[in-house]
Amino acid sequence: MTITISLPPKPSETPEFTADGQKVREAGTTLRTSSSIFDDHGSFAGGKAKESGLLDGRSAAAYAQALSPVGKHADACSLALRAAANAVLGHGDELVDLRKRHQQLEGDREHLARQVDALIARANPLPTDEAELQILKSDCERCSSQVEAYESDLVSWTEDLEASEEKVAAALRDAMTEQQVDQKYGGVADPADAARDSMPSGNDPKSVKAWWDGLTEEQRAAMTAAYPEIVGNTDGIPAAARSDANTISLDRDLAELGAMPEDQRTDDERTRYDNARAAEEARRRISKSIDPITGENYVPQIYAYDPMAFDGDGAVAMAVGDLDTADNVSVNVPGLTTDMEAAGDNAQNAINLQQAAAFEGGTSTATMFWIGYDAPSGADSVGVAAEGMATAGGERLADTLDGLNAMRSDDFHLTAIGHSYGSTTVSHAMTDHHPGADDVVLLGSPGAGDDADSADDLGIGSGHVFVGTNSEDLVGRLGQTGWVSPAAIGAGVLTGPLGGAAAQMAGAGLGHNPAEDDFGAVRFQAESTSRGSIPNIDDHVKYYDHDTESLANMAHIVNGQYDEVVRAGQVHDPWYRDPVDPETDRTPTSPNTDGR
Amino acid sequence: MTARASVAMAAALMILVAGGCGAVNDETYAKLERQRDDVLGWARDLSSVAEATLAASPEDATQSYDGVARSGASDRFKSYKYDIQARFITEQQDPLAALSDDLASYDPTLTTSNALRLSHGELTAFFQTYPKGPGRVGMFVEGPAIEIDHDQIRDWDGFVVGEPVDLQ
Amino acid sequence: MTLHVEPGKVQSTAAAWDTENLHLTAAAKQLHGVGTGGFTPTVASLVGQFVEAWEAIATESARVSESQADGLRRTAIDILRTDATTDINASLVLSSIKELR
Repeated sequence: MTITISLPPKPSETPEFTADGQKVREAGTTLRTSSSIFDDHGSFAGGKAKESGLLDGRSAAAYAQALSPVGKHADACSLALRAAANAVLGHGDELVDLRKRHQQLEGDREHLARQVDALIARANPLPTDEAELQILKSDCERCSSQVEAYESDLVSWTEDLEASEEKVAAALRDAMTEQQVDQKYGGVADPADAARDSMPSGNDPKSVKAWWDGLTEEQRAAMTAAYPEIVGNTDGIPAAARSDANTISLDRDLAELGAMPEDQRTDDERTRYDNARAAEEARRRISKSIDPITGENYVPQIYAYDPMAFDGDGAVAMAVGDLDTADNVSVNVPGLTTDMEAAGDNAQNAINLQQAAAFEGGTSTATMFWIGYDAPSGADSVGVAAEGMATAGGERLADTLDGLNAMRSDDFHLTAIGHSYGSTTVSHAMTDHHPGADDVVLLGSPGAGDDADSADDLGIGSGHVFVGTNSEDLVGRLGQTGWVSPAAIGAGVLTGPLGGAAAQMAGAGLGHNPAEDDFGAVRFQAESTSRGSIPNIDDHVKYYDHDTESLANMAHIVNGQYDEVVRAGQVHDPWYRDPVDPETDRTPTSPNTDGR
Repeated sequence: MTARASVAMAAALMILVAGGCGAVNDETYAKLERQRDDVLGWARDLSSVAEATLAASPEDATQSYDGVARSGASDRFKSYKYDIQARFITEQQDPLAALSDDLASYDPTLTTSNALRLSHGELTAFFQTYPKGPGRVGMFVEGPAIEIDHDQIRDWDGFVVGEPVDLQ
Repeated sequence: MTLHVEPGKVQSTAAAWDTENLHLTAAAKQLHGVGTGGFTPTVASLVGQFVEAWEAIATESARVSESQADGLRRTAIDILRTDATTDINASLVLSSIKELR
């Protein structure tokens, strides 16, 4: 009997592939930002620029005549550059996918080459035993078919790469000269305008989501480039799209105002630029931070960006993780002295919480800092006479939480975390508007607001209202406890930057101390190993620090690991003496929260 | 004094402390710059050893010199810490053990099974591995926090966040 | 006699053209900085040509904006100078029309 054995061929080399889809996406993002500048230039030429101030008939007519082609050309440039940007962004996505396939091919090739070498070795010399020969034959056939599959995958990969290259090259070649641009795009209607006209008039995030879903991909891309301030800040629009839009707005502010000589900036421009730089610091800080489980850098999502909001205090919200897909999402609301310039510090808090959540076993988490309300800051602090800013902020926060729920069609776990005055804001959002948050965390709270007599009033069940208060946190002691409000002592006694605001919080009477037993929330351990020996302000700002009890417990809450949350004894207030905090006598611990 | 009155007094004291800052002088800049030079120098040394130990070049090396408000007295006071980070992709089976051997002079300590801590005077470094990032080793080098009034040096052009840096 | 120019409007629109010049110059600078490093060699050179072409387009649009601003101011000043021969108000507002940036 003759046994024919065909040795498998060596797999072809995987071609070198050095392209970087992420870098290509960055190039596309820059092109899109530039297209947005042309878009605004076209709008200017067709609008404000017409008000020449020339009343002399001939001169006015000459000016108007010169204006028209400028506007038309700018609009054409905007559309052409946007089309090229979209092509480059799409190419970037395809390259990311091709990179993954290339890595798979490289692995397959290496594995197959080793197999082929082993089979050649087994065939030299050929085994004399027939059974062994049969096994060798069958192994060779199996390997040959695997090599064949590899070669076929390699061909598909090469064809897909060439197709992607050709597509982007064609888009670029189409818009290489001004003549091409004017010919192809001159007088063409911007798809963004029709999309904008069909936008629902109210601010119901579900209607917005339905409208967004109903747009074509081209319309969405057009809206993002032409109206980034709308797409970036409208609740109901998915976070990835909002982030794309806000990236355009932020990059434009940095580029346009950064190019302007400092002494030529107006007051508004200076404010806008300072806030943009603060947002950029937050973005960079997130980008350079690393997930302690995967070792990969985080990709920031800019969920809101409005540098001129609240009379220049600015509004910004940025997430560490993907708000569109994460199983667990937290919205972190800062308090005292928060304006947009605090974005960097708040980004660090969100990073620390994400890292801790990942380290504690959270597989899919997004943590967002939200500077989206007019918090007491700078001169504002002087005006904090009541809960007004927290009440108004609560309404805005409730809209944000509703927006997150509306943009997601799946079931996810949402935690609202408020620190300091932000905890009063969170409490107001919950008691006054009942947004769909699953858990609430009140940190260093000066009070849960006048509308909350107990944790049940927050509307999610008292077992889901968590409170973290360091026993020596000065602000955490300001809430009303039992039968006397510290407001009576606080107001008018304290002065200075933060102490003044703290005094005013005390004077304002921001409601019940949520760490007290009467309130009925779940208090978790939040002491610090560097805790002071008397009530102080430094212990008010350690809750998000790595390796603290509070960060570990918050991570568990965000992950929904309720059994892992380490409970603390609640404050109680006997009628015959000052409130008693059992945590004062406990020795604080330092759990590892980042794997170091 | 009741506890409530002591709360008020404590805050008033904090404000006095916060209000007592003076102008930032050249010494502060010198301190910031010295830390940068020290950290960068040590990071280059560590990187060079790691390169040999892990048979891999450092990737995505970045430097940062931003400040975080860590004091409650005023967010004007920020803790500045210069740090360098980079990553290596290695085939070493137990990279932390190998690094611990080769960097023995820096008092290596395994703080967790994933992190090796090193110290050099006031400077600290970590090499870290990742449960779901096989082959990845992160290197982090930093100086101690220096607390400074941010407003007085906000325009200092030495501040960087996540800028690329050459470790060669 | 009525002036043939609204000086405030001329000044603000011309200033807005100046701002457009700055914005488009910023766009040109951004385009100049677009890196080709992430692309495959097949596409990279084309991307290089593309951004070079668009840097020129943005620079030219910036130049046009600046010339619109200057032209508007110059026209207004010419008209006001003519008006000034018969109207004292025209000579008074002449100095309000100037380039700020």
